[in-house]
Amino acid sequence: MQKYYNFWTYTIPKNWEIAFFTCICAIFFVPLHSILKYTMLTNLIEYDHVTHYYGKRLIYQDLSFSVPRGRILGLLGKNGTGKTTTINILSGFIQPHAGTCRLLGYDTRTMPSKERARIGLLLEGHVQYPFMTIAQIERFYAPFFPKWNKEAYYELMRLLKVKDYQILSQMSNGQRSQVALGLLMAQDPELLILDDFSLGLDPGYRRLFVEYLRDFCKRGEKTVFLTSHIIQDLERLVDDCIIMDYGKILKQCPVSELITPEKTLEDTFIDLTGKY
Amino acid sequence: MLRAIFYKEWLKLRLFWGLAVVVHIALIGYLLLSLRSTLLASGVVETWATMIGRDILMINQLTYLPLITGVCLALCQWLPEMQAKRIRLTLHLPIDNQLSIGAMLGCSIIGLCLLFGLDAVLLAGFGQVWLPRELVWRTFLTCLPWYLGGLIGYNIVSWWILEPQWKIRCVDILIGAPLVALCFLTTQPACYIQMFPWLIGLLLCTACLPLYSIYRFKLGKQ
Repeated sequence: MQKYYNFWTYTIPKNWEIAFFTCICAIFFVPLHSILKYTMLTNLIEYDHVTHYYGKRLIYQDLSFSVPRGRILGLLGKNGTGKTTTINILSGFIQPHAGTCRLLGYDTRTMPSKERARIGLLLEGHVQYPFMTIAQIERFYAPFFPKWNKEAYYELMRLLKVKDYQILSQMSNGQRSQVALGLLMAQDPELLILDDFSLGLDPGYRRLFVEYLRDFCKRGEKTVFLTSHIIQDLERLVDDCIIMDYGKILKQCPVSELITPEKTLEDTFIDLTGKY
Repeated sequence: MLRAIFYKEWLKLRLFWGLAVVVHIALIGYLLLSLRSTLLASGVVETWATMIGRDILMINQLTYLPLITGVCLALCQWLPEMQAKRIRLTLHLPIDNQLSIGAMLGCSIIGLCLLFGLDAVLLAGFGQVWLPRELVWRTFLTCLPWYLGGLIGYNIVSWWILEPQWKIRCVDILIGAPLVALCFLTTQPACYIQMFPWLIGLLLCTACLPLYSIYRFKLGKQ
């Protein structure tokens, strides 16, 4: 019996074929979409028309800035201009009254919790758990971070000549800052948010902190957003700078544009914000 | 990850737990020894008659111990976390916030239940040597609201400490203190039998309150 070519049998996909192709598309599309979304993301931080109040007191209105991938951005401003508020909004500890804040492409209000493993956070004053020892704090954090690098942490601890059994509460402020930095390096995040990292550090520890951080960031192409009230530190560390005054941004540009043979960054800062 | 949270809580609270076990064993030991000396001095029949006829169970010293334990635990657990807003370290971990805080609360509640369970075992185990089963059971029913008060007290104080605004903290205390006081309305033996389901309901409701404070903290209330 002659077999006729049946158009419908050969061209219309059967149910299992549809299911098979849907699965293949789903398997490849989801990771591909995430990879593309991340690689095409140029700004790891996007602070978009943010307004914030404490009670009735306006902190700032309609503030916008962004931090491109691989850049180190320093936020400079006098006390009370909203630097820590900005860090708290970025970290998701404060929800702004208006505007949106996106980290790694996610709105901070709805960011999936596991994405926080990609963000390193240093709290003002290098706050950590004072009842833990050097070894215990490493053991505590390790299971949370998939890229945890124990060696990076212990390398820094060896440099400081501190013992594994030393308790954080019995260490100096400078040593504690290095423990916090060591933990950040072990976490190996893509984005670092550092709130006033120089607080309470003497010049020697500040220099050590800045040099270690700079090397770490350049090696791994890290993106950093930091605040500090010591301008000399920022000169050595940051690529871009935002100078902030009460309620507004006065200047946002690369640091190289603010430093001239006649003027340091500090001179420019004082020119822009006034002496007091 | 939850194991790491439990590890941190253990490091923070191990001294407290050690001290709490010693104090509880010491007080239960003291109560049992004083019961034994009363039995020896007054005779078994006389003592039993007093306990049943006059409704005296000789465990009044135990009344506020669970509450004090619960309150101290909440203070030891959450004050270091709220100092310099250290709780932000926990909230920044790549784990659901409600889960991490729930685990911290959960391990303390489990710890308290184990400690209170130890008290019950000691009281029932040694009490049975000198007292009839009915009296031991009556003692247990008398103590139970105090222990529930300890757990509710822990929840209320945790709620109070974690609340980020002082104004709301005052409101918390005004609401929380009468709720705790519900467990200590009387020391009459076995008076609370009808109220146990309500007290257990209250315990479950108050367990959610610290999570509400964390929710407010995350909203940025200051």
